[in-house]
Amino acid sequence: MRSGAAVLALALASCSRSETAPPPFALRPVAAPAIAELESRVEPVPVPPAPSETTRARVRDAVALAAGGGRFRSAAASDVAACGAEAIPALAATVGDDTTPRPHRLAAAELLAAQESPAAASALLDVLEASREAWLRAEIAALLGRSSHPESVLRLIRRLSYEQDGDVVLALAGALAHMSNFAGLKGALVVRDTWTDEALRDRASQALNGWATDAGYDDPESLRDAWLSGAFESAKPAPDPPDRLRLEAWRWIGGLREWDLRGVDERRFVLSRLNEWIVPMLASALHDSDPYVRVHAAQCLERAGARARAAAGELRASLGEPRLAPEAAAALAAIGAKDAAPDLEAAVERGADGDLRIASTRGLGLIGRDASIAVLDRAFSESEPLDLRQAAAESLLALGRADRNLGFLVDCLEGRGSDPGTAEAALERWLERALSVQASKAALERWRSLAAPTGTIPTADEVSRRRSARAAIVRESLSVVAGPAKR
Amino acid sequence: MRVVNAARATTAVLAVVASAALLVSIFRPMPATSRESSLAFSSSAQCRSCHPREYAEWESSWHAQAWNDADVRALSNDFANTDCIDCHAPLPVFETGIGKRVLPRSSRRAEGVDCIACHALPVAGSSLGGVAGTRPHPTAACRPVATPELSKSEFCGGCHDQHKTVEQWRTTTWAAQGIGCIDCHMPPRGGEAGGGRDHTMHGAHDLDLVKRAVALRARREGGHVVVEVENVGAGHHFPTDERSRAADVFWRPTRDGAPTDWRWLYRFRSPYRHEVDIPDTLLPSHETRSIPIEDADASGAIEVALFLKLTPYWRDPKDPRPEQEARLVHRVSVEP
Repeated sequence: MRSGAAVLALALASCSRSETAPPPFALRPVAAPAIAELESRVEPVPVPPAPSETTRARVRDAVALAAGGGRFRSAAASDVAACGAEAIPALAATVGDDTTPRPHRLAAAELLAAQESPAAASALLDVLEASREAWLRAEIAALLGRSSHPESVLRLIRRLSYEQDGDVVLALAGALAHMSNFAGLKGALVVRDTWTDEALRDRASQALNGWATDAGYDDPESLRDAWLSGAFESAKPAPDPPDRLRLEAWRWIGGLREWDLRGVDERRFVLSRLNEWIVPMLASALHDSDPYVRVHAAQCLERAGARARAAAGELRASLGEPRLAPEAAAALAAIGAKDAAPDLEAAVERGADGDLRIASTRGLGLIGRDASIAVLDRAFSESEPLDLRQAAAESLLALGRADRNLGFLVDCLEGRGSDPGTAEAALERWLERALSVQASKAALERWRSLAAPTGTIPTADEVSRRRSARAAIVRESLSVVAGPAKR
Repeated sequence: MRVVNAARATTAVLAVVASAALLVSIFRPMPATSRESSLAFSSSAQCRSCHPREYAEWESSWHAQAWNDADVRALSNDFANTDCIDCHAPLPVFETGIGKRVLPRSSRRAEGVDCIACHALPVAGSSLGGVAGTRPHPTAACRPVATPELSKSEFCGGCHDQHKTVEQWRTTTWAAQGIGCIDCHMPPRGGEAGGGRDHTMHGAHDLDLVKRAVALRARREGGHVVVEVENVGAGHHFPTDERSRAADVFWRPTRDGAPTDWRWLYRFRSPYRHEVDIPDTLLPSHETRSIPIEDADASGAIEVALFLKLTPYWRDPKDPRPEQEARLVHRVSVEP
């Protein structure tokens, strides 16, 4: 009887709960109406008509003229302009044709860039994305950087995510720098510091120094730090994006609902690297009624890091939306929203959703507030789930606590926890912070010497051996390095 | 006596009302903010006491290793490739729906693709959640609801179509015959109906299964050796899983009966995103690929072998060591 009544009560409660609880976070279509509104104001990019034979011939002549030298360029450009939109596919075909002499292809690319139409820029981007010729990709990137098509920035950043040729990385970074976007800085620094080609390293160094000087910084590292921290755009806010760029950006946000996760990952990569004008757009997308859009928008803000700090308010509100809350917690931590720490501490306490507890626990380690230690200690207690305990142990280590949690993490590193990968990363960061202690410096060197050689993928056995050896290093070093300087 | 009967009657009525309420809540449209399913069952370990056999099978499966498997960690750069997380630690398939992609979870990632990922059924307005099963079992602790979608190939597609596997299957004669994912990868235990399906979910890690999926032949023709690889049994391309898998054909002369070093001949693989210079050479279901060996050294006795790589990259691409780094699927000899 009692059990029957309990079942009934439970069932009735299950029926009534959703009706009585007020909606904690307003959801509505966001991306779709924004796109529709902008589409009503922005002239669509026309699909260029197929060129007639006459147009092909005139374009061929114009390209030959332009390839002949600077003083003929303007005449060639006028000839091409007279052909109208038909010239665009004809020029693009010449650029992409590897049987055409290089000077002609380059001239065709320059004529295309000089068209100053969105369709011409789009055609150039098509070639950039499809071409297997690095020199051509580099030339097109440079041309697009100098053109007046800011909407190209999205596809230039996407290309950056895949580019493996050092010269093209520099060209893309340069094009973006020309647009006051420094998403390419990191890649250019990698080229400068690690490429085997000395001449290319020199070119990278010169380019980086030039961008830093132009932006008013002493060196590229200072510019990079200012860009990543948001200080650059605090001092020099990017101008409001034109409607065409805003439309493109909304289309990329709306496309976060697409099926293919690779496409979603591209969108996250690009959207998180745009200038800060994207932040309010992503913050409003947190309210989108499509769960994919709002969850991935939160992930974009997380990846933007400190540059997305203006979204802190919307992200805190998002903690009230169950499906979004874990991603919002991670984003709040990544943007360094210290004011949100009490919210995350409350979310760690028992009763909250498991995903939110984990995300908040990890977030508190990133935010680094002393007052979080008591909450993290409770999350580390033995009665808690193993993955929450490990997250708490890692966050406590990040906060400078290295006692029981340290031994626990060494066990995790050896596979007796929830995730040896995150334990390994947390211990490495801890060793790095303990560098002021001589013994830990030696331990860190031994730790790093066990890393897999660049470019190799270790086997499962090799990973297991590496982690065992690293666990031994930490155990040996415990007496010397325990309690390193807090970060 | 009368009191007892009244109590029973009341309990029965309450049970009927409760069941009706539960059913109403199950089939009510899920609100956009629902996360109820993950609250009812918080770990696969909760399934173990009633389903020890299924749990043991799952625990030994690659679904269970989806988060911590060293190959996955390496290929995903420890999940720095964040697009991998969604399927390697997914929220329940039913939470977003059949035919839609899954969303990632933050907790219990070490459980990988867990029991909850497939069986948790969101129940709108309830903090309990339901359980999807193949048949209803109202007296079981988890009260599974019969959910035929569980056995459809589209159910697997939310994750496996990210690697185009279900899309590949749709074009095969297997699909036309109604033979789906679970018929090969989740066969009935003991080969007979009624005993439930094997939750080991064996696939490319099961060499016997791979051997049945593909055939290797080699013959002399017109002065050189022609190698043929036929996809005879896979319900998708061989190998499937873009990026993660590759299969390579090697050959080697034998001199005085002793084998020499393997020489690489052909690779079956789909290029990953940035690999613009690699052609897509996956072998569709039912198709045969003929690969000639145009080398004077092949005029004598040779061996030809097909190796499967669970990660596509060789330690030293200029000097691949198939026997150390790959798994031998088939080997055939060709006489002079």
